[in-house]
Amino acid sequence: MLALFLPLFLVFLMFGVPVFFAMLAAPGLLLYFNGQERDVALMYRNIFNGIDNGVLLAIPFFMLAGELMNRGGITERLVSFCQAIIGSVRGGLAQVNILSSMLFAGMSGSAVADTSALGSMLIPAMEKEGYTRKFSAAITAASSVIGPIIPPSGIMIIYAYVMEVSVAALFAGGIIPGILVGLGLMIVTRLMANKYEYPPAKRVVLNNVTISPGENLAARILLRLMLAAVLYPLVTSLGGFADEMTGGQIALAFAIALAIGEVIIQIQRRLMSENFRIVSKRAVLPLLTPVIILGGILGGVATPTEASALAVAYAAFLGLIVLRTLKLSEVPGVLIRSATTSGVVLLLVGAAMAFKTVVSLSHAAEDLAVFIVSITSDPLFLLLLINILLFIVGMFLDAGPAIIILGPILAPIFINMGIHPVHFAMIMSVNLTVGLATPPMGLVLFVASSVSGVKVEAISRAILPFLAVEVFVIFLITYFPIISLGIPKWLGFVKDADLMGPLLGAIF
Amino acid sequence: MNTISTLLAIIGGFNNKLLSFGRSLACVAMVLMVFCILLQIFYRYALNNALPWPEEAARALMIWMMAFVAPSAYRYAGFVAIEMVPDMMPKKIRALLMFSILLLATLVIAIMLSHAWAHFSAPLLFDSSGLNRLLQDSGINQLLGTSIEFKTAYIYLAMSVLLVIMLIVSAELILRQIAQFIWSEEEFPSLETPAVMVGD
Repeated sequence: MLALFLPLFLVFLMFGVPVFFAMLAAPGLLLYFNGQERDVALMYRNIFNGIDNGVLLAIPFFMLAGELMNRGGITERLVSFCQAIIGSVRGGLAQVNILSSMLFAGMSGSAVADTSALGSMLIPAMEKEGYTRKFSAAITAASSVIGPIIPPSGIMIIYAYVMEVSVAALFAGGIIPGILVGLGLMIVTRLMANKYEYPPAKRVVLNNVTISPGENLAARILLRLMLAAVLYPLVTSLGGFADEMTGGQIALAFAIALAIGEVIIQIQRRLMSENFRIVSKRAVLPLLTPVIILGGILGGVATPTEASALAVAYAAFLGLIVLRTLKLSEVPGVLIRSATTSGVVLLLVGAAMAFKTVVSLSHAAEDLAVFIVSITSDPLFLLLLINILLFIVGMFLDAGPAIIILGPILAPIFINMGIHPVHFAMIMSVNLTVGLATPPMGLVLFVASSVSGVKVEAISRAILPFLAVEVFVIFLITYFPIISLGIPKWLGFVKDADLMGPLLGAIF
Repeated sequence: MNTISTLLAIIGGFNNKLLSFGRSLACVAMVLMVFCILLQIFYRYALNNALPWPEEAARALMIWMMAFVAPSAYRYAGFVAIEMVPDMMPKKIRALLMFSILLLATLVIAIMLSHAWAHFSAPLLFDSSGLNRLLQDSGINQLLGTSIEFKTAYIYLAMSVLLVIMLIVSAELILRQIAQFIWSEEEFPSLETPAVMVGD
């Protein structure tokens, strides 16, 4: 009888019961009528214990850091940096929109935040350049889904916690898929530029931009340090340094990396215009955020919670003191919004942990596994089916709740079939994140509509070519595990991963 | 109609104040949470001395923060739901469906509250070691001449507080739904989310 909680849950959900209550009411009612009242008490304990975990601190912190970063000044700096880099190709502002989303993705883990921050700035600018408003809204919505794919990512923290996977592994796994989605969108935009005669290419590096002496100095130092950090592994591996380096050798290797970096910087100084360099320098301080977050977590220096707290401190320091893009009067609103959003997510996570208990008590996952395997035992076909299911769910439900509900049910089935947990996490995360931009209930479509004033229906039609690319990328991720497992394996977060997957395995 | 209007005005006014106060407390909790973790980082990496309490304190603050803000989300429809089917229904049937959903939600809240209270008042109110170290190390007890001990139950209490506030909010939402069903949505409009929660 307990297995009936899944259909009951779906009925509740369909008739508009909030996910949190549906997740508790459906199993709770059945447990009660089944005479298992003690398990209701167990469910409550699991809600509380589910919320009472330090890993979850990263959720409010990343939300807060994203809110602090999404202030006008920082958005403007990033957008002008992207314009300087890519704005001069045909369909430039559309490309700028995508690249800005990719950079923003490294700072905030939310697609909604990206749509509202970038949309309110770029949609009017694109319209002024000659793009239609609905196209501008569609590209903003389509590119904002990169936000939760490239780390940091709110839904990946939730998935990692509920399904007991390493957050760092998921963050590392999201990098290539996120970049692929971005590149896919850029290619389609370029192809569409020829067909639909987008505005012609023109030089878009801003003139007369200034930078304060203090920020100039900070940007110069940080740029050199970041470049040296990137070059350091190359120097140590090519320079014949021993595996176990002494303090002196480390200092020497870093000094060499700094010197090589300096040569590169001096060469680019001669190649780039003064304006280009200033625009780039103004982006250095905001772009340090992803370095802190990713460097901290993937480098094994900080836990996700610590990295997220550092990101909050840095974002507040940048917004309030250095760039002064954030007014003190805005801070309470920022705190309230991030607290409210994360409060709801935390309750959902708690409910998910209780739900997970009932899933295992009822053997629903096993029953479902038997049913699924009775349809076909071919993992390639099953992965196709699961992607279709996830895509449909994504059309109606937000990525966070969807991942919380489906993770405990679906993941064990596929992991048993030999799909790596990190790979499956990535398939679910990317698919459900793309669902944020799919009609009829895609959350970012509604945000893009309110920012642009274009009807959701119009954006839904204009977004279709971009969605097609995103679906294509989902299939690449599904059938080529190397895309999501390559970096985690390289960094040592996953050990026994089969990078080839069933498709390449069948071919070779 | 007058009675229900007055009742809604009283309970609505009370909820406005209570939830606004809760949101302010949540802001403070959020700032303190960040502060705790930054302190932990500073002690661990700069002073090479891992403090035993900051993570525990941040976790407690996170749960209390959730208790302070989640009722606001509940009141202003911030809980994720798929409303496609209800939106397709005629107004009166939709109001009836929403009323049933609210009753179901209230039932869930009430059952959770009974368990939350039992959790809080259970005999095993063991001390929270990390946070007690904070009370000892900081010298607060010596300074005040007290012997305050931190009980884990203080964290459990957050859930009861959350659920009691949600019950009060539920009462208001149910009343409003009844009024909308008997009279109309124009006379009893749905609550508007405060500007500070919506943002730009």
